[in-house]
Amino acid sequence: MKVSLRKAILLYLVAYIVVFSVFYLHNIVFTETVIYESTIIVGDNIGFDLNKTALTFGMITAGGTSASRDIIIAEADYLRSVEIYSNGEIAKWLVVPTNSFVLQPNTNKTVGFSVAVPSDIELGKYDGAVKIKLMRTC
Amino acid sequence: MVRSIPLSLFLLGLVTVIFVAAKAPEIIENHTWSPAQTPETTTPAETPSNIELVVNPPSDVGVEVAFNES
Repeated sequence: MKVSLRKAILLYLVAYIVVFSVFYLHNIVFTETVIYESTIIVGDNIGFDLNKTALTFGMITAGGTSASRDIIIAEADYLRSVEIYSNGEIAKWLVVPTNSFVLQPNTNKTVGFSVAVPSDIELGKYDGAVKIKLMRTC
Repeated sequence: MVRSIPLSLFLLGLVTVIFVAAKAPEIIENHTWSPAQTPETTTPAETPSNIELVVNPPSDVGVEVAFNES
């Protein structure tokens, strides 16, 4: 049995549009995304930053480990799958205990972020961001 | 002349299209992001007393050593 090439291409196009739309809408409806700007200053001494709206680590020395910062994921009454992403200059120095986990209903979770910068980098300010994706699973 | 393809090839193409379409929104959303780094766990393959080294974070000096006598 054979299928006309024109019909096949048309069906591929329709299938792509339908499936893409379903998954895209699913992402919009069932996924909550929170993005935190993140900054670290590499200097010749240590300083703290108490900004609570961003994931800032203050000033640390090259080769040192900064004090970690915590983000609390608030509870919800449904099961959620959590994924943590990072980007920017500090992404390669940022460490979390786990970047993917399941959060049970009515429980919150504190995620600790820490930064360890290598000793051979220039002094200055380094930026990045952390994205927390909360996907409602059922 | 009307060109046609075998049904098996059509179905294979359809599965591929559906798979790509399902993954595309996630790829578009995460294309500038990478999963946050986690502490590295190194388990030496052949050690007489099964020593496991856990370094957290990668460049930190803290090392936990677990001895498992077997």
